[in-house]
Amino acid sequence: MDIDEFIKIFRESFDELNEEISPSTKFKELEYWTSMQALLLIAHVDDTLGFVFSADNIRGSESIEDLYRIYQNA
Amino acid sequence: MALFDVNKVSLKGVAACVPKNIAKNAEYPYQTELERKQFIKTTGIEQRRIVDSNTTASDLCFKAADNLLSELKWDRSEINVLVFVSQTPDYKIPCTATILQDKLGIGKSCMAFDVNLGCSGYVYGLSIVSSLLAQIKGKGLLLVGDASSTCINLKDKTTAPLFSDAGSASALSFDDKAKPIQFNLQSDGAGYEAIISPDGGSRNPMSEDSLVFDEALGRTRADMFLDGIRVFNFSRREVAPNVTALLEHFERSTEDLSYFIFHQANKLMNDMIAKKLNLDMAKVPQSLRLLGNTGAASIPVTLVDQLDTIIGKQDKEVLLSGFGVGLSWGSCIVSMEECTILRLIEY
Repeated sequence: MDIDEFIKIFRESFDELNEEISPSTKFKELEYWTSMQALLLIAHVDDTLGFVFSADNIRGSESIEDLYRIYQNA
Repeated sequence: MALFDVNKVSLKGVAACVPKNIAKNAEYPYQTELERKQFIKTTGIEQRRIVDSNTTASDLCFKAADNLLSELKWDRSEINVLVFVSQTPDYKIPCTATILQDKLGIGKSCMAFDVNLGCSGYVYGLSIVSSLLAQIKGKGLLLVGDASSTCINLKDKTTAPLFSDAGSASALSFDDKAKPIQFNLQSDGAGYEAIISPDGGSRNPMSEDSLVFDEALGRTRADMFLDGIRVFNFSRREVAPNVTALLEHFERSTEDLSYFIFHQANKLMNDMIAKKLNLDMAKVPQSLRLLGNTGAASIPVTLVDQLDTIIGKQDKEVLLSGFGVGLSWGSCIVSMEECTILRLIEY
């Protein structure tokens, strides 16, 4: 899976997301990022990719690319 | 796995009691409007019940038990077992169960003790009381409740809007004709820090530092902390396999069961578990919207709030599943054939 596909999955986890996003986007600065959105992202990634981000994965990541690399290296 | 069944004990009645005071999440002051909107949509929790400063979890359980015993017309001197399951006891010492035994007018021939468990506590409590009654051949009370609002900082915006206060009482009795109650109980202490009040126990006694407020986290070290992602991942990983193992071990099918009542954690989690088990959502009642996450009491609260007019005196079996702090989780299948369910009581 390339990062563009991963970004598509990331975007799908949001009900609302008005901003443009790219690999370098700092996802915790997005308008609609909240603690609940973190759970929605984890559930959606698990459903679509069968991979579960841990609490440390989310806390330790800044950009969408950071999350992608964790998934790729798992 | 701790898979076992208990024979010749039936659930005779369930009652639950909540405080009258309502807190509305739409008016919760420590989230932004966007956070409030997303929180309510994702958790499904619009309102919560909160105790006043003079009320404890045991008061709510007492009210539920007193009403239930009167409704069942039980002779209180015949009660042999009283177990109080809570993480918000009246005192650190002594246990609360003995106080409730006396307050309810139950005789001295009753054994009474506390169990320190949270969201799995109702299922664990049923296993303890039913196992004892199978030996004693008597009657017992399971009192399960928490006043979680008393140990959570109101400014902790990820935790405070989840929790609600409630108490419950369940009556069980030896019964030659009862269907077996089937259990699957599990635990994993490696996750003990996922839900914890770090200070105030023997490991980290209360000190001045315990009461220092952390602005970023919205709490002190004496307040309860909940790691939402860890608990979410734990529940997502463990609950459905626990239920599946229970069904397989006892050669049961989801088709055999009338309802599936899960601990009311939040809507996202409960919908996800039901989906993993391919359950019809009409068979998965929820009390979250108006009563919130009532901790250890959430299963009996949901029975009372959602099924009081449906189940009473009918031959129905239900699956109950609790999961949370510990980490601790478990499921059971219990017949409601002999069970009287009282309407929700307000205190």
